[in-house]
Amino acid sequence: MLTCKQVSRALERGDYAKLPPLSRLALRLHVAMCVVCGGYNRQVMAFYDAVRAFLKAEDADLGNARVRLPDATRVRLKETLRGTSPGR
Amino acid sequence: MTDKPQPSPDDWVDLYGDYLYRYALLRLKNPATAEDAVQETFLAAVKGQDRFDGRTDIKFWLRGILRNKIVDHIRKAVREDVVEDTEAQGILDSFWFKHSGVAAIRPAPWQFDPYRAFEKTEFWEIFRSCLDQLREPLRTAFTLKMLEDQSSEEICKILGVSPNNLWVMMHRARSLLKTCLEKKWAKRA
Repeated sequence: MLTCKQVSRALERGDYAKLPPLSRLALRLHVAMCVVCGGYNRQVMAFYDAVRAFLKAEDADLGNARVRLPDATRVRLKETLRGTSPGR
Repeated sequence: MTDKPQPSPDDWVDLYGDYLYRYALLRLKNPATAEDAVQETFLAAVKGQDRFDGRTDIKFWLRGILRNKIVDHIRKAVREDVVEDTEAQGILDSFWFKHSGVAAIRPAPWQFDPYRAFEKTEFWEIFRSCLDQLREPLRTAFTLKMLEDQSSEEICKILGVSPNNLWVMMHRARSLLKTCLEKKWAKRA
């Protein structure tokens, strides 16, 4: 049985969705039933879910061309890279 | 080594320059700094191209390098202005926090169903604008922790704060984001 503190610590360490399935299930069960930390930690979980979906939406949006690397920088970068050898 | 032919470094700028620049700009907010991060990424990639194992698309390999460069820039930019926070100390000293690891004041339920909102493109524009409105160092803490997946230990080092202090910062960031999301999402409806 997990304690509230263990659940909070686990959620603080990182995205619960990346945990192994059994640990994830244990966390979700605790949070679903617990009157002490459930309301709070449900919100922490919602933020992880939101951020995961946000990053996916953001990555899709990165493909569109509204913002472009300035041309001058592009030229400068190409010159710099031509003068750079691998492994140095 | 590689499963499929990968573009040569000569083509990287044309193929991935815009993508990497946009990513850097989203995180760093400053065009000049974003350009620097992209340049550092390409240079590091050219020098270390023998470390690319071809298992992923080169775009994602470059993005991985860029993410490290972004964290480096954030590390350099962080000002040491973390203030003593008496209200935060109150939360941390409370019996409730010591016992359960959560703040005693329960978050109110969402005023809308967040999971339904995740399906809408407009929601992410609002999420982005609420994130950008967070005051520092909350925005940086949230970005490093949630978007850039840095460990709490690393973020504490970067921001020069204790783990408890970081916990309070994340708690504040979530509360402020939630308030902002509710306000803007309700206004839209």
